[in-house]
Amino acid sequence: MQPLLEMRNLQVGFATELGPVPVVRGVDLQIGRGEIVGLVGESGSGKSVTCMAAMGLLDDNARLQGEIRWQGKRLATQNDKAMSVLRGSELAMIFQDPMSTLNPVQTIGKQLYEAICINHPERMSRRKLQTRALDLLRDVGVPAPEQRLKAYPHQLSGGLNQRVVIAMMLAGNPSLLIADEPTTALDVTVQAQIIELLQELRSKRGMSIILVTHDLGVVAETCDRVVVMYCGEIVEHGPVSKVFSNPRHPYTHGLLASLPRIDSSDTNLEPIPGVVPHPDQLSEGCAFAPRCPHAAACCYSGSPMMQCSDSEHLFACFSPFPVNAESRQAHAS
Amino acid sequence: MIPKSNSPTAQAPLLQVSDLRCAFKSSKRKGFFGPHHLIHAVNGVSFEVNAGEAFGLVGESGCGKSTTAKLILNMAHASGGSVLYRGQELVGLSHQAWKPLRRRLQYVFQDPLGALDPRMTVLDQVIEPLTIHQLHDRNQQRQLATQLLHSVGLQDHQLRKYPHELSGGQRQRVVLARALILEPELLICDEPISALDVSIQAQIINLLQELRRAMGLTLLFISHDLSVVRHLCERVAVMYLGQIVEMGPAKQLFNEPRHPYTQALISAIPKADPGQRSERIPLMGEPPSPAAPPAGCRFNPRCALATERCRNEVPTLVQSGDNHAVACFEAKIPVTEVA
Repeated sequence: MQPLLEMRNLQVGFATELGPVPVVRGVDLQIGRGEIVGLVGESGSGKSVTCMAAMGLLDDNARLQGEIRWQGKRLATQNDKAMSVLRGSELAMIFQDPMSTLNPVQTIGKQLYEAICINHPERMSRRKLQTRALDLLRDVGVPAPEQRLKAYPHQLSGGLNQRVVIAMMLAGNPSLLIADEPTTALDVTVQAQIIELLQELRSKRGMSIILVTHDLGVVAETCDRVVVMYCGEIVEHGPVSKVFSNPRHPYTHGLLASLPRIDSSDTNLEPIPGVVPHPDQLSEGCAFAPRCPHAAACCYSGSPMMQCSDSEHLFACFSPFPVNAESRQAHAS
Repeated sequence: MIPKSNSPTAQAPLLQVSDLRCAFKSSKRKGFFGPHHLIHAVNGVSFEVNAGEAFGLVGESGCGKSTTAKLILNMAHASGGSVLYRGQELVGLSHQAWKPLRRRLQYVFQDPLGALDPRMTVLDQVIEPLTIHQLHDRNQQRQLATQLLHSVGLQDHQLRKYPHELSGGQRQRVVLARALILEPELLICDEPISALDVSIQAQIINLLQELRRAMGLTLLFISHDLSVVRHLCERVAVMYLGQIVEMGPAKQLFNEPRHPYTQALISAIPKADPGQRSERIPLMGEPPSPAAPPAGCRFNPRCALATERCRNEVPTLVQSGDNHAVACFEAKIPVTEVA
């Protein structure tokens, strides 16, 4: 089956005063219909830039190479009219802070009407608009939607605002939603509600979702597949159950080992030493080598290629963690 | 030098907060010339922190956890209650009387960039508190600051840098060093790692644990991240709308939460373990505004167990024999453990 969105060797660099800085360095990614794919990594790993490239929202100083295909057709990426038609109706994106997405001096209603009008070429009556807006707000579980239409964003809580943003996004009925840290600014109980809403969108509307997050817990509970990025490259990629139970790349392993668990406090945290290098200070070889406990001489000279752990689980490392006994058994049975 | 203690008994807590209250004036009034509405951000909070322990204060945003910390440090005005530090009353203390105490109680904020002076080098930032408190001569100051910066994991070449040249994790290390240079007894950390990446969070958590062991620090750790609190703290208090709803030893509180709010809060945390998707206790709606708290138990509109009594009476924090206190009429307390 044809993937909805496909990236082939996507490279994004930014032209700066000091010359080009590579930020995304050869990403291959496919998103199928009705899938939730988690994109994880530390800040500066290129997750957001990858998503912005797919949306055609990169700044003018960005240099893009490689291919992005939407349902098999190559996307004309930068600032194209065709792109703006696609945006909203096929591809939609929501961001971390709903307050900066919403206009603070317009009512929720007015902003929703605008989103609906853009996606409906024929003129709609005021009454029809209002009915549609109320439907959308009900779809995303906003309580007492009639009153919210007249409210301004500052009168609603962060969780409600994020629901309103999702409602605006639904006006175009897109097939792919890119959610960039949609719950980071929210409390855990509200985060749980928003995550439930995203899962509902997938099961009811068959929407595909790319979930960009640094919260591995959120990924484990919501995603089908997970893509781990480091310094603009994909280092590990596979079904959530396999990657989390048996991470092969030392970076994935490090991310999981630095996570405090709510169900046990006895284990020691093993943080990854050091910090993510600046994109213009990348050394030769594997980008993770300077922070890697397994790094050997070969890691500093050549870049590791993607290899298969099994048919679905891929990683790029010269000295990976071994396949653990549990998953070997699961594989055999 | 300040005497370290006025001979407190070994059992006396380092910090004793009782019935602490804080009310802010709202911009809304009753009628045109009527009095301002009051928002009770902290409404009768009591807890104790023992010397050497790590005490966690958790809750969602707006529950009053940060205000509680600010009240302890006199950075907000308490409208009632008392804070005893080694038996000394802190509420209503003059600015002058506070100055020597600031050495003993230090505060670390969430955003390190906001806490650091952008025009001072790392080393100067850490020396500054010593100069303010007129401790040691210049040479000694420099030596002490360098030593401490090394022990929080910064290297020599980073000491001459400015805050904007450092990463988020390194900045938080500088903030920690600056708080620790005065050798405080109590360190209040308000969401110290929320702005950092997971791997860097783990580095700072480990650093805090090391420093606690090495310096015998007492920690009041405020966070919305329950997993971090569970990892770091021995005792935990859970706040909801300005009140403590449950308090107890961390392990016990997280394994067997008794208050329905704590139960929902813990079940809402996503676990990084795809095999066991936990059964979530859904929490309807969002926390009501502290400007108009519901009658009775403040949690009753969102609580699945709420009864008529919960809607009329306010439950108090009742302690059972195992040092585990809960403010709920419906909480199931193991019978054998009731004191």
